[in-house]
Amino acid sequence: MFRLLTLAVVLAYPLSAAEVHGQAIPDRPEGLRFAPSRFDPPAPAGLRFELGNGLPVYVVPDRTLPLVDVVLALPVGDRNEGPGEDGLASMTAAMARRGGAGELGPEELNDEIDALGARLQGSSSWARTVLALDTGSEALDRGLELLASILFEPRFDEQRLAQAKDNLRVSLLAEGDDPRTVLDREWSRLVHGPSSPRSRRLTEASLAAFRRDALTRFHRRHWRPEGAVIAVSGDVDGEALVARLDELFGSWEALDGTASEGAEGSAELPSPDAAKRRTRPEIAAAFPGWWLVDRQGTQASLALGHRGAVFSSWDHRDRWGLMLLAEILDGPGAVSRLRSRLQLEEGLTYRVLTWFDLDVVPAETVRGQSPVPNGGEFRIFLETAPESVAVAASVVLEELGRLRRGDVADAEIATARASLLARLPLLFDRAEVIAGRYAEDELLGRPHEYWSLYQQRLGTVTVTDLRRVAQRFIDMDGIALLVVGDSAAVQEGRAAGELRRLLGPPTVVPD
Amino acid sequence: MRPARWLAGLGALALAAPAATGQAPPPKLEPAHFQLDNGMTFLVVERPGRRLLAAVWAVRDGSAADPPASRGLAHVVEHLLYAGSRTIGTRDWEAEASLLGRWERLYEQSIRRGAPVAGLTEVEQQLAEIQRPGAYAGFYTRAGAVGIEAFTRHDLTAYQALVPMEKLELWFWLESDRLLQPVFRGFRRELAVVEQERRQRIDSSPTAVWFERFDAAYWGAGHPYAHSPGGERLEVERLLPREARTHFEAVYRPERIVAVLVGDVSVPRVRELAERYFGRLGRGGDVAAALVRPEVPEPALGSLEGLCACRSQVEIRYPTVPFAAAGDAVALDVLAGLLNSRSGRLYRELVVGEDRVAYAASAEHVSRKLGGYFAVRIEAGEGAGLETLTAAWDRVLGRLRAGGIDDAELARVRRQLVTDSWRQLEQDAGMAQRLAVAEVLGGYGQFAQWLDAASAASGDDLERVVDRYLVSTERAVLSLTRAGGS
Repeated sequence: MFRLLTLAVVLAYPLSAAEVHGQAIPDRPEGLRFAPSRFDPPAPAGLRFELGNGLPVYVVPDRTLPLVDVVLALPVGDRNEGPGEDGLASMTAAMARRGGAGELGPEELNDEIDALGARLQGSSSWARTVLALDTGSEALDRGLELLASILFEPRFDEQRLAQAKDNLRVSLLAEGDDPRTVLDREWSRLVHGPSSPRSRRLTEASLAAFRRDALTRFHRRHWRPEGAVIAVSGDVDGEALVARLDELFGSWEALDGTASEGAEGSAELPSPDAAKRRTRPEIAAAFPGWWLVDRQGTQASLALGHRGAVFSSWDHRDRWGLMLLAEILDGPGAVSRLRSRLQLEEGLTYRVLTWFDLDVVPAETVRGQSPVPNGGEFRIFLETAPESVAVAASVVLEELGRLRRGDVADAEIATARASLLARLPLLFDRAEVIAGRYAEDELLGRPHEYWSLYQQRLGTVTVTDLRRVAQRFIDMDGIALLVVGDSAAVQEGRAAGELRRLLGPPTVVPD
Repeated sequence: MRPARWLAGLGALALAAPAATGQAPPPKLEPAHFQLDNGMTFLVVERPGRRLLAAVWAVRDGSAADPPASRGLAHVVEHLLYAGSRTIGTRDWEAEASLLGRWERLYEQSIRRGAPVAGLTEVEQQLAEIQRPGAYAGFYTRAGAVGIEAFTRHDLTAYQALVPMEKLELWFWLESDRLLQPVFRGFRRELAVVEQERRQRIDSSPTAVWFERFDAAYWGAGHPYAHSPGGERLEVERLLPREARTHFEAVYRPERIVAVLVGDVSVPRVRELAERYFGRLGRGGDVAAALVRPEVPEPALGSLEGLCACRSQVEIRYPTVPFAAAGDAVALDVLAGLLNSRSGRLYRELVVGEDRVAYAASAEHVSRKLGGYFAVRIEAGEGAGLETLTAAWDRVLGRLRAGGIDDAELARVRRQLVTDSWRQLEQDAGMAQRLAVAEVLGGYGQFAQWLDAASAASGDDLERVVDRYLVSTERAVLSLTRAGGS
């Protein structure tokens, strides 16, 4: 059981005036002196257990609150969908939770989970499927039984499946309502190409394929223990918990190889404009250039970039350099270049968001499949007035060009490095995060040592490294710019001529 | 912008009745509380072992305090407070001060004439040479702080930072400095950013535009909640720096500020730093005289219909009561719990039940300082018309009125509320925000009182508030039909 959380403190702490005014306030914050701080990630040894079938479990006890979080993650997701199976991974995860399990019908399952005060969710993304239980510790045992039941014996209730499909049809109708959804959809096609599994979208045809037998088959084929991992944190006793997990999950056996074939990467959708497609190595967008979806409105959304980087090792020198480069470009603070230029100097946007995927394909892969067969993306996203799109995009291109030329000051590197290192403790801030971080290591094939190397490796990145990685991983000729906004206003806006010079004239697509 | 979810904000840290839930007694939160001589309030929660300090300070006024012809002013001031001070954000304050004075005169002339006057751009160029935009947040970034953000709601304006523990004093330095000697530089640029924020949050969302209009119709002209915190575009465009300073001086007074710190801190250390840094702020004069607070009219209960590039949907609102951690206000919060979740009435009866008219449905009790409402929002399922949504809700309501709340159902809701209250203790930043909101709404003790009251709410209480407030003749309805049909 838990200990009472004692946060009560006395109300009054009288202090004399001399104590209060004993220390002067420096004129500027630079005059403050802080105790040195060094952060070492918690040692993973002692947190890892194995069940009878070899399934790894990470347990990080924290008795502060009577709560327990359990996450069971499988290396399965959209990438495992075959032709005609778009969305099946997510549908399988959602319906495993919603469609009843074992002896419980959908409504009984909902009632029981809610009666425990627990939350139990199933979800799936590109390369991961997760069942997550969040419960009071006194309800943990029953919560785990329900989680196991959903994992092993989902009922995929026909009626609930039909209802979910009806709702998805309603969603499909509204898909074009939000300009950001349109941007996301078209962006994936521009960057990865329409035949890439990354560009798949739910359609009426894929909805029709969501039959109970398809979900059951996908579940049987892919929800297996190889590569799976469990993370537990909170009000638990490690040994006792692992014993209970072993009872529930320790006999989960792998299927033989014939059932385990994924359909990964096998889809081939026709390209709408194959002639325009450029075959560029590594990182260029499938369709570089300026693309404009004409949509009336007072605001425009834009995405600019290309594919992300893929490395052979988590400890690749260029990977550390690229982390710093991305921080300089758009780290979460006022000192990053894009925020300084676009928001603080020009007042062009309320926010700018950057994704720079730095995926790793290790030599040894789970189930014989690469974790990132199609790589991720490098995307800068912002919203601005249509007439300001061209100037905002030009600023972004100018900053990318500066990085490629190696125009980076030592002070900028120092700030980016300090900012990244200062945020490292956040990645291990709570028991739930620690357990999840180390479990994710297992899922991604990332060695735990990555975290102990983090500070030293970032410290060795030089200006020369940054120029090299910028030239290698920012491809100015391979950039795609996608704008969803008022075409006329965009094309007549400030710096539109400059943008045409840089990217060529836009290809305007009707909404 | 959707209404603030006070239930989520307050739904409580602490104290359930074990007998009612069958659960072990929950953790207890009693933050240390002290007040400086100038009236500024501090709440401190010691959490040993934390590496980050979660710090929030809030003023007890938000957009509801906007002057009638300057709607959006509180939000603009929130943005301007990141422009720095006489120390931070400038290379030469004396030179800048002189230029700022000139700029302000020219800018006011420009606003009056409706066009830039000669010399304005030149002064702005000179200022650009001296000013250092982003300097304030830059100190935090270089220190490894994250989550540097602020928000303006109807009843408060709050500022947050997550700072490495060993840099606790940096927070005191920067936050007290901008309260002590703020400089609202970059005024025109910040208005442009505010305009971008409005476009992003409201104009780009088909539904947000309609909910903003519904708020205006529901509360009625002249009500402090009738406009969103973002304000009115035409009024924001014409705001002047001196109006922002007047608002700052009236609202940002130490006696109207509460600061909440959660982390590995000791209360004596926090108190010592608070005295040293925030003790410099002078107590303000008569607040009542500084802020014009007109009479608050009754909600107008205006309904609204429209076409929208969104799923067809309705929101049905019933006027209720201002925020309270007891009585009907809490019973209405629990009623929302009974309707929500996968085992709740709305999902069971409207989304997957026999009626099956809804794509999604939810309920919430929004209670603020000056008034509240109970809202039910239903998005249409495939082929369902708006009239069927309202009728289906009326049937749900009828069954509630008929006394159909059984003990097991209520026990399930209570248990969810209690476990949710524990979850709210897990993240320090969320806890700091909630404590600040609670303190502004009536005192941090509302946390514990709310959950006590929620745990004790009975089926009779819920049926009583259904009868008292969820009356079909006293409701307003927003009906949005998908443009172009289904």
